[in-house]
Amino acid sequence: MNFSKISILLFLIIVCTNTSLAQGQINVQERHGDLFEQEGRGFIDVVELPNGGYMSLSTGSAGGAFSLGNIIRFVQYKALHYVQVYDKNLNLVEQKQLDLDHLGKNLAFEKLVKFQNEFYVFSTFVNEKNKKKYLFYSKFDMDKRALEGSFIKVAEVKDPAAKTGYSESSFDITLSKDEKYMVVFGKDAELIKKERKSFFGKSSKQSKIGTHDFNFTFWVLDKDFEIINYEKNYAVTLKESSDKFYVRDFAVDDKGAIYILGKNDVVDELTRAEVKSNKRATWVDINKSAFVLEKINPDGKTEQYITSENDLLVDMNILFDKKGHINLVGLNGEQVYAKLATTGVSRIVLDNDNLDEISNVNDNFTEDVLEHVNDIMESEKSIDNMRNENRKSRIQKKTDKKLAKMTPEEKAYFDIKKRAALNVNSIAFSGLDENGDAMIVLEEQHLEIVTSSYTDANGRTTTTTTYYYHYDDLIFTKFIGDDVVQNYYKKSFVSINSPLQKSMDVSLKDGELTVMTQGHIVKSDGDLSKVRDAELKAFSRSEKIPGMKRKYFTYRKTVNEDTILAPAQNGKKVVWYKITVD
Amino acid sequence: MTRIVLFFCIGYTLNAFSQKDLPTTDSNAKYYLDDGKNTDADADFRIAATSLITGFLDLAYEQRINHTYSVELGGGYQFNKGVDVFKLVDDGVVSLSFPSDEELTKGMGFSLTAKRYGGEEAISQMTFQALTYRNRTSTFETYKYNAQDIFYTLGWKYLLSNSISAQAGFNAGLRLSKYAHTGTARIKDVKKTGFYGGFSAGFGCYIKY
Repeated sequence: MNFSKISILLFLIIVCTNTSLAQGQINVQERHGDLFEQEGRGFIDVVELPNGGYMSLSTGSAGGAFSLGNIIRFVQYKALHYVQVYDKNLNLVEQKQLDLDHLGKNLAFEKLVKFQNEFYVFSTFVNEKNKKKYLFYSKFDMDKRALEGSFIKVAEVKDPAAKTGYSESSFDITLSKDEKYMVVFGKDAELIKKERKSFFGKSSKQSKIGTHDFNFTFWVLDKDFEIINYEKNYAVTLKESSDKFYVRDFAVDDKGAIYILGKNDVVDELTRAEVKSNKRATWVDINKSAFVLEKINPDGKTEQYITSENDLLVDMNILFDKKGHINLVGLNGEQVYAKLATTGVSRIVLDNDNLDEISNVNDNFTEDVLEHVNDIMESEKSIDNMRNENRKSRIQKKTDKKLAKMTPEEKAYFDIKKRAALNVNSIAFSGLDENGDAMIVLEEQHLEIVTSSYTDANGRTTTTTTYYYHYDDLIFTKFIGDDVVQNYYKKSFVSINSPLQKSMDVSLKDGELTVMTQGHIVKSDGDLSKVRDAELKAFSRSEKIPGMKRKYFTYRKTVNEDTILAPAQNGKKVVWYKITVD
Repeated sequence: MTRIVLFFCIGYTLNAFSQKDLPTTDSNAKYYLDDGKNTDADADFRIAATSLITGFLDLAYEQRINHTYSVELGGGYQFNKGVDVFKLVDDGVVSLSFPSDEELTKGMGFSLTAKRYGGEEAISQMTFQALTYRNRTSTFETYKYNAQDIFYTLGWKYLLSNSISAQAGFNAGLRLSKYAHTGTARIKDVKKTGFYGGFSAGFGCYIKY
């Protein structure tokens, strides 16, 4: 072989290697704006502006407190909100306080909403005289970076503010997919029922089932802010059943009809760890995990769809496809004593008009997925693959002994790992791609509580409890027609003593999922056959920003299908990162 | 004919019942924000509760300049010798020339304060910082005691019920005091400079013009 042939061969090898490497990588661009000092302490929202720039909202406070034990206590605080406007490279253009005072009253910020291509600020005020909380909207003037015009009252809920022993009243605002309608959900402040105490002061053990009042009020507004649908103290109930449901998800369609997905309270009872610890004897009640979908038309007519009683469902979301059909994507469960373990996924497609079932697809998690996400199965597999036969048999004997000692309940929990994702209780993300295929992302989450005691030389014992919030592996599922494809992504993250505000961001584009985790971008192919990742430099300590000693990320948001914005903060110093995934 | 009228009446009634009674949005924010509370007060007329301990009945009038600043004018009448810790300390040094057991014959005072409120919440419910100049003169049988206090205050303002105000604060500053003999004996004036500070509290009424 002569020199020229060797050169060509070498060239081809290099080209092929580079091409194969490029195919396995994700093209992630990380850019950041200039450093600036923010007003306020934390960011609560960021939105993309029509000119390609961005606008963020931050919150802070004025005032202070002084206390001397429980005797003397002076406290006076006022929440302040600031608007920051950036150019397309996330360099700060202007920073201004958002004035929410009106007629001498302080209104509380509720939400910034983009509706009909305009920005609106929603604020609330608790009127102690009327014992009500009011929701107002005001148009936000982008040029002046201030509220324009008056405060217009939209909704109201009961709120005996001065009285203690009441739960907090609240509003929730959401838009229809085509942004033609807006729905406001209102929840009255409710009297927190005191637990009955026995003669010796111990509270009597009572199940919460059926004691909650799940009534709510909603307002559906059209593009002119006219109320076109309204129901006061509405309750989702089943005919000939005393079961009560609370709102798990809700949506408004392109015709102004509202859909309420009610979750049976029993389901929550099951997924709570306390139930297990309380050793509730009534675990046999777990055949009631139905979800109910109620459609309320603008004319007041209602339709109802109830999931089959035989299907145990852990969680469910509502999605609308292009045809207007309702897609209920859910997690299937299996009862293991007091726990409802997540064993698979389901997709129910309903006709928009009469809620008739068009299709119902269910699938269990695959063996491959379970083997990788259930750590206990992974360790068992590593034992099976051991070459040292003596060690292998020793470990197996130990395991057999353990199994023999187990109670039937413990054995049931031990066996469920082969069929269920042990630490999955809710849907982290659900969406429909351009072809109408539904995708679900699940994240393993669990809380570990470690209590440790330390006795010093003087005999004083100090007990410390540490809370470890685990955010582990991801499970991806996609419904392609009647088929369900699955894959997983291994990860591990622990937050000590405070749970993460948001553990991941997910976007869906061209049928491909992009997930931003704590330090990585994870991307799946359209058929989930490949899941790739890329490490984010922004989250790395080695990536230094001049003028900023350390970086803390407490907030981030997916602003469009392929752009995630995240501010790196250190005290008042801020740099906004723009992470773009191709 | 009666049947036709009856038919239309029933039809109209049924139609009215079938219509949902929908609420409307309302731009009259004033109605919903009116909770009877004087949160946007222009002035505050207040009595200083802690001054009563020093024997002074201090009344103050605070006027809002804008949503951040206010000025306060105060006047005081001394009705009793009271307990002024800082005077008692000085009395111990000058007791031979200016006996502290003399009867109080007259006492007057005035003060001028500039206040700055946080969060543009002047003057009703917020923390504030203030700088005060206060001049008090107490006349005894044979001498006069004059105290000029210049102090900084970190305080809190509250709205109790609809218009009742409350104020509390911690003060720290300087006291320039002077003992001056008023009798015929040739006793030299004594001037002292020292720390002034402590806690102050008062109650008042918010005024909206």
